Amino acid sequence: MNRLLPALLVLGACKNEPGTVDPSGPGGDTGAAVREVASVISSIRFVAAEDGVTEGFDLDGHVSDGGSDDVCGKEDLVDPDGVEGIDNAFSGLVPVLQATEASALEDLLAQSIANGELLLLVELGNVDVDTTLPVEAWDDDCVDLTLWRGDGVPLLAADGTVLDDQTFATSDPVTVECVPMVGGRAEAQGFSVVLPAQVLDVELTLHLSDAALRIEHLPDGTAVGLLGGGIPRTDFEAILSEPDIQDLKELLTPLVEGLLDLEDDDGACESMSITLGFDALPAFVAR
Amino acid sequence: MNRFVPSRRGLLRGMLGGSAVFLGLPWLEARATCDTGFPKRFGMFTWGNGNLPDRWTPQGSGVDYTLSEQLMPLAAWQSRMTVCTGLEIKVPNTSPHWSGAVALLTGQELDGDDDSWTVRAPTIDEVIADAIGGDTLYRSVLVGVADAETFSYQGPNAPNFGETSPFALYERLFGSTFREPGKKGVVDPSLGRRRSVLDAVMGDLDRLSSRVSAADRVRLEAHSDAVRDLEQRLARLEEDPPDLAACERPSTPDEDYPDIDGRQQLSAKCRAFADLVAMSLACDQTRVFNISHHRPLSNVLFPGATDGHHNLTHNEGGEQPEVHDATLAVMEELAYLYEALDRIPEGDGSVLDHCMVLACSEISEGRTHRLDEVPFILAGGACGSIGMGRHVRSDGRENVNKAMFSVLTALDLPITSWGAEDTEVTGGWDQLEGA
Amino acid sequence: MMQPRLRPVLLAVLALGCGNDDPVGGTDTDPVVVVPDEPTAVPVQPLLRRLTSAQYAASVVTLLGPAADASVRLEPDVDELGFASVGAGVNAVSALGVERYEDAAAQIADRVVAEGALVDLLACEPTGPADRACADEAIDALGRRAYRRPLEADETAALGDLWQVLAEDHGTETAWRDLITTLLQSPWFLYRVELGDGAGQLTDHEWLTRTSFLLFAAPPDDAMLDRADAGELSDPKDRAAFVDELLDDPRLDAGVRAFVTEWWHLEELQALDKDPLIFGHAHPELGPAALEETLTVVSDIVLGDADFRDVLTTNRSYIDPRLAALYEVPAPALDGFGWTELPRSRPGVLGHASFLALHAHATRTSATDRGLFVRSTLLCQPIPAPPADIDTTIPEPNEDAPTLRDRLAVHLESPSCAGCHALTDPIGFAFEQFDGVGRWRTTEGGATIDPSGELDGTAFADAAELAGVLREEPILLPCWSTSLWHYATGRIEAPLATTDWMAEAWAAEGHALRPLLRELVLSDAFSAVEAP
Repeated sequence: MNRLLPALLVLGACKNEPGTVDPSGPGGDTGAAVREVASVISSIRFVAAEDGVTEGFDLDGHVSDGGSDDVCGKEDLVDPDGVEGIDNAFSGLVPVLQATEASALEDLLAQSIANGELLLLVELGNVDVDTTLPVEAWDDDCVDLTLWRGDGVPLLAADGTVLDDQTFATSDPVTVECVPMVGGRAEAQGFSVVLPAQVLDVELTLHLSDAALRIEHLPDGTAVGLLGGGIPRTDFEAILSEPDIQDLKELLTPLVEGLLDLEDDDGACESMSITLGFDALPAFVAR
Repeated sequence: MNRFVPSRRGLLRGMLGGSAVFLGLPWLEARATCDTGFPKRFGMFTWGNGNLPDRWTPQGSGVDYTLSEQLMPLAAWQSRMTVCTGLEIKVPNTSPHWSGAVALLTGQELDGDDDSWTVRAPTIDEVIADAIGGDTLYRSVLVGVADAETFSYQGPNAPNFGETSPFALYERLFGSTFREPGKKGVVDPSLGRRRSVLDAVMGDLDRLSSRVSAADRVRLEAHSDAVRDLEQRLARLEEDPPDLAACERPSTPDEDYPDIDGRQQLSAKCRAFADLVAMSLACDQTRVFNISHHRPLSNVLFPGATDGHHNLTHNEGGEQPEVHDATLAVMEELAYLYEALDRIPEGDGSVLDHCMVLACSEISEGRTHRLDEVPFILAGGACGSIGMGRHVRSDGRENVNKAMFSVLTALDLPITSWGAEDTEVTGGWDQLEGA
Repeated sequence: MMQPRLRPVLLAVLALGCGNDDPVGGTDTDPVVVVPDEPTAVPVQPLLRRLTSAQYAASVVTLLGPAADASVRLEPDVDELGFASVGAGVNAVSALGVERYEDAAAQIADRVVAEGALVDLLACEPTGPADRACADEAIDALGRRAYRRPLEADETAALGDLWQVLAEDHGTETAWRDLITTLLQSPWFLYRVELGDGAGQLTDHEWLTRTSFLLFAAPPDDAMLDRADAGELSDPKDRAAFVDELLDDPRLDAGVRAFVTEWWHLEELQALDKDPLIFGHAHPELGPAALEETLTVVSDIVLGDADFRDVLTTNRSYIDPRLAALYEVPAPALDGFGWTELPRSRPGVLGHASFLALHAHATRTSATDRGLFVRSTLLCQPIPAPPADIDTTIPEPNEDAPTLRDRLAVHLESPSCAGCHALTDPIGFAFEQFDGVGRWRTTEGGATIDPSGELDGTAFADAAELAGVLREEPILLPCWSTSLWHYATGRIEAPLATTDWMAEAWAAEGHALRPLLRELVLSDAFSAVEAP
């Protein structure tokens, strides 16, 4: 996994002392602040755009108006709160994919999660808030946000989805230190992460760069959020060269080309922005 | 077919203050045979937690009656069954469900209290098996659909359990020891050795029996009786089976009936059992059977129910539609049992014609554990011993023991009374017996 | 009559709560333990106790070795006084039961032969059917293990004759196979015979068998039988030393587990019935995991000689990842079980999924059922069944009565219901913060759950406080002593003087279970039996 950007603290950031387990928890002793809050992503969806409006992030730090200033020449979108410069070019592919065999994409992603191939955990560390308080009171100027890969096959609930509150072995953390959390909502930007995924019987890897993640904890203990980033052309080429989807290659290749909207370091238009929405359940990171 | 080895069991039972009092040598007189030459059979089909009496009792009485809602699944069998209503289990209802179950099937109230109780006498199926079950491989065949607890007792502290696996029942009845009549089957070579082993076991039982207390001796007697029955069965299996036209090895049931969505496959198992039991009768392996669909107090989950059966009877509000549906489901299984018995030709009719099948539950309304309006259906009639096709109603809350007395005499048991003390009756139910 | 046992003493004080004080005078000594005198023993009646299913399985393994597949179908055990071990002394076997014994014996014997394990079982391998001396030697060894006593000469002769005839007709392997089935169906195997020596005591072998089943949940092995045969268990000092060896044996763990499983009916956890549409955490593995958790926690307390009442209040538990997810705590081990501290809200075994899930319905909790367990099993206060003819329906959840406590109020208000429900429901409400599979919750139907209440006048704020109150209940030790007595002796009658003495001895030993077991098996009451 790439860890490009500054202020990344890797393993060991927020470890408990070996041998101690914080006994507070549901109904536990109040007042003892839990130092970490972890969630496992239990479902992922593609985020589509409607009339130029989409959930997402400004990944490249500027508002593109589609004019000649931009290498890629693509116009950015606007998010539901009216924030401009939102980068989610992948949303242009979503209707096309839904019309093809790929309409079951999200189901396939769900399967990947349930069988352990696409387990991601979002952990907030150095949380100095009493998390037994309602989520509206979770305010902390400085928490660390870590995106972990979950290892192994998860326990499943009776309905076949990932079981909440389970403990995961994890690896390959990507941490952004010291982001603010307000009312249980925290956001981190400017990191890179590699996502394994199985889509359309195709194993593929997405190298998200300029990535951003927002997580919002809800009163019922679950969380929702967004994960955005740029997928490089090379990832698409790899996907489209898979034998199983050759019939889609003709259709998708020009579309992909037409949606690339992010410059790389050399100034070439080489990546496509994407926003994924997710739901998450409470989890524990094994220490 | 007439090799009869008297069992000591009947004598012992009679001395324990049992319900049925026999004249002289009961087994020689209770031959229970139809004019057609086929033996009379007795079967019981029980379910727990009752019904909804208002939706159970038919309109009209005699031969012209209208089936009620809860009896509709039995519509095709109206002429082959007789519905008895208005009867009451006449004991103090000290122990919900158990007071009813014990008194219904033994004729007497239970012994003990709610914490610790037992029966005072054997249940009716055991009494009948004693009388007519001695000629066959099995005195009786007991099965449990939802669980192993049947409501059958050999005597105090001697409960009978039912087979819960159709496959295991098949293996026992139609497995390696079964030979189809008329076909040159091979006698299971292990039978002789098994008998030698059981003989040694009997020796140990005798030896131990002489050293123990009187109470333990009674328990060992039950053990010995069962071992002796098993020995006799193995001896009979070495002989040619009775030549019965309808007898053939039935198809194998599933080895397993796994739960579906956390619910037992009640219907599939019950029907597998019904098919096996019917053929077992046709092959004269037994003349008495007992199918327990589910026991009193059972919280078995019926398809579509939101709670266990017993819980529903107490907690379901209003008209209790789920309780109603559960009763219908049980009646559908009863209908299948009739069909399974009727499918097998015997003489000019079917096995069903030669059977007396009693279907009953230990209470009527589950919510209040009512002992009046006891659900009580007879079918088959045992070749006309009791007239079928009727609704017979007691408007005076008569003692259900009278109906049981009629059943016993219909099977030619020479009883003089059924029940004891306050529950004792010395005659049958006139209305039932007048065809 | 036993003399009070005094250990070397510097502090003249009972062990209660004073464990860690330095003894005056400087040298290492045990604090004094004054175990009260045992009252005159009331002899138990002689009784045939049939093996329970679990005891049958253990007996098969002891007889035939670990290769013997004891996973056979027997008829169900029947309880009496809540114990299968007591029911086994009351109920008669059914026709199905006898058939199942035969089937089981055949299955087990066939397996032993198929595994090639037969030769290991034969103390002597006869050269042929005529080699009687050798055959009899092997029969004696097997028979002793099966009957838990040496065979009498004519028993050996009879079995030998049977073996010989079978060997002549079918070969020695079949003869041994059938001999094994004979032993497995013999009443001397299937029943634990406790007739006594004619002088008011269990025979050494009977005492050994009873002790072995209590402490190890298994019949005595050859080494133990050798000691009895040699008369090494007759003298009280020898017997006491022997018991000390047994109490140090790792097999004590199995004995504790078997006792607790029967006492609290935990075998039902193997087939836990929970609606998966309502309980996301319901899973076929949950029940067995919960069983392992509770049994290990209790065993650990016993083997550590801690205060046995800690089973009610300890927060230390042994859980696997699935239980950890249920309890919302980090899993101590990613694979399998590990020790961890549970939150304060989960007190002892009453905070375990085992108790919480067993005493609840398939679709919801049951405050009455949970309260009933505490009253009936932990406090020996049986609650009678409801009157037969009353309507026991409670309202459905609605705006005015969102929680179970609200809806059960109807029982507490009705005179014919309140008598019993006032005893059970307030206890059960303390556990309403745990749903039907034992998961923590603070609201029901949108309303906050109130877990507070009173136990016989002592208030508690929640389940954890209730556990603390229960721990101090005066009836606890007498009740648990009585339960242990029923289990250990299989008797319905529990003489009050004996069980009271057991409770006092238990307290005197710092409430550890192991010393109480020692007192019990060495007591007069444990050995005294009337003549048949």
